[in-house]
Amino acid sequence: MRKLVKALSLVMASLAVLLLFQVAMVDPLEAEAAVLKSGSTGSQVTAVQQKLQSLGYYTYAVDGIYGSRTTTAVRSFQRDNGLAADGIVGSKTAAALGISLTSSSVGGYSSSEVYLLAKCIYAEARGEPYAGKVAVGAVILNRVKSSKFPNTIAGVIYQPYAFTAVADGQINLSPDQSCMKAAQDAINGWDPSYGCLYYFNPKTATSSWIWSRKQVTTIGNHIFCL
Amino acid sequence: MEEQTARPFSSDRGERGRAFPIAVIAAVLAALIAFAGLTVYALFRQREGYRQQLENLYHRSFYELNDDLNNLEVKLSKLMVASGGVEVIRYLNDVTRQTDAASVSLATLPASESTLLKLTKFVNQTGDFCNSLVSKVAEGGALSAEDLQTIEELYDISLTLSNEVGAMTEKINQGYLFTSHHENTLGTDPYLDENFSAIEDAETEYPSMIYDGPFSDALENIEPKGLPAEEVDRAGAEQNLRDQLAFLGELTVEYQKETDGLWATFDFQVTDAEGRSFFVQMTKRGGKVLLMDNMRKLDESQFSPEECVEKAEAFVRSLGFETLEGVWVSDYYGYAYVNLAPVENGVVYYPDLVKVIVARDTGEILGFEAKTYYTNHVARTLEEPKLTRLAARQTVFDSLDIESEKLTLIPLTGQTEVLCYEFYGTYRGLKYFVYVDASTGEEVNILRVIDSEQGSLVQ
Repeated sequence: MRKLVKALSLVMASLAVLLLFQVAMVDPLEAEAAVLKSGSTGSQVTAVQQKLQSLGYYTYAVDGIYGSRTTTAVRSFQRDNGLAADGIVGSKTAAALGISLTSSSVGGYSSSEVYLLAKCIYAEARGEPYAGKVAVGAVILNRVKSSKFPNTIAGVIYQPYAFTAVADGQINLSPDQSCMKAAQDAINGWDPSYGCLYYFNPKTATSSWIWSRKQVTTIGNHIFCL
Repeated sequence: MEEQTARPFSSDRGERGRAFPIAVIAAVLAALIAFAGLTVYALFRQREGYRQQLENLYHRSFYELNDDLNNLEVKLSKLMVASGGVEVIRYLNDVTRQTDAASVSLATLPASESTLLKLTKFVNQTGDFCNSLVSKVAEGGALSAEDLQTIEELYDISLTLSNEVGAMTEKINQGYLFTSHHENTLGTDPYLDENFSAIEDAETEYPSMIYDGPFSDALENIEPKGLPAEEVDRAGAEQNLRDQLAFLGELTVEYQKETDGLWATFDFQVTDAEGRSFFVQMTKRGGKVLLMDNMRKLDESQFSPEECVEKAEAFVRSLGFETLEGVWVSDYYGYAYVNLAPVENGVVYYPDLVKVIVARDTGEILGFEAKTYYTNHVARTLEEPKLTRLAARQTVFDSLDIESEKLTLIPLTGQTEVLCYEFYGTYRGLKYFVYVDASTGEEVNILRVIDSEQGSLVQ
């Protein structure tokens, strides 16, 4: 009898755990917040500092690093302009400063497109050697340039079932530094695949169609083809 | 008496003791099962909601594609018989707008991309071709006999495609569900794949699309014009590598693999005396250094972007590129991307670009890429400009505050190159490059520099 009680208790406990798991099983989406705050660096921070300097709020060196001095200056600006004085440059503060948070562009693509490219590289090729990451980015850009595929980076990446790591949601993870760098290189024209439109992992690819493409080179786990 | 009452008392508690926990367990178990059932039901409802939403989106994409192809057929038919310059331009623009829309619908269908290649290509090239004709007609030209022939062929294909996709719509109308075939795994829709494959594999005669535009067939596989025809073998490539990179000092060279295709290369891993390791690709044709790559994490920047341009120039000179000068540098978190172009007889040759990455912490070269250079670099005899620089400057927008002027050769869409005066200036704080054709005085291109904190013109 005691054994039965014990067994039933165990079953109950595991059922309870299982159910809680089910209910809580939602993948947290990593959202990219388009704000500048303490710790941010880069050209947009420089733009903020320059603007604040010209308005008299920021009297220090314009160095592109968002530290405590920049935060203080931003707060003063926000207070004087009726904005929430949180020291963070979001869309309202950026608009008041006359700066666009999204318009920074490299090689004809906006910074959000570069970030999207980096996310896809991270999703598809984060374990690959650096040249392999750049090559994956280059394949995406080659598809954009080709008449046979959608004509935007987002169009190519989100074409249904074109990339398995997009289809299963890994595209929503945050990319690491080397993937950001690889996206940058691909946008600047680096193409270790020299024009390829496809790549696949020979150990996992099942479609006979992909094997029939002309193979150009192998980098890491991927074979790149035209 | 006490003994008698003690025993029944204790045995009662014993029985109650056993019955109590079982009842409790049974009750809790029942509650858990009920809860599980409700949760599963709720999840099921939610899933059906998402599935319906997705189904709706796919249906919308398909219906839009069908509409776009029907409209495309009609607009091409009007273009076929339009006479007169202005009307032709209007219909050409109509066709381009329609193909843009069709291209977007195609991009969101749950069909395997291998089944959509020809259809996507047809849609994109038709729009691109018509776009290129607009410039022709707007400048006073007329559509040639070949252009009209191509338009007729494009019309025939658009008619076939709109009929075939229309036939597919019949089945979709009868309540077909795109999401009904993959219960537990997701994937492309088999009905779409099958039917689009049939369209893809059909023996349709597509016209050869050679025209002046980014999707032109002429751009598909461009021969590298700058590479000699003779090929070297692996030993020859390695020898060239050692010769050309001799300025780096003692080198250990390790062969890795070959790359096939238009840009056939031999690939090596090269290590110098200080332990820096480069991935180097040598072209089979001519044994030239095509790409070098030594990416690493960086420390604090010590060198300015301008100093990095000098380092890049010194590097390419060591490689044998005598006339290259830096034209643009952009800084990305300590990596300086430098673009260099040959400057000969006072003309900057933009099509022959070489790209170099310089590390701003140590000033060393992290990357080198010469694919654009070897694609385009040929000996050219340029015509003397018919306009003087002053005359060209006067055609530029009055309020543009011009800061620098150069004579440049620029690539236009397709494979054409034009000798232009380049004027770099600002208006309302925005930075522009304006290109004026040195023969006709026509403004051929305007480029705008966006977010110039990241990049700057090398004056």
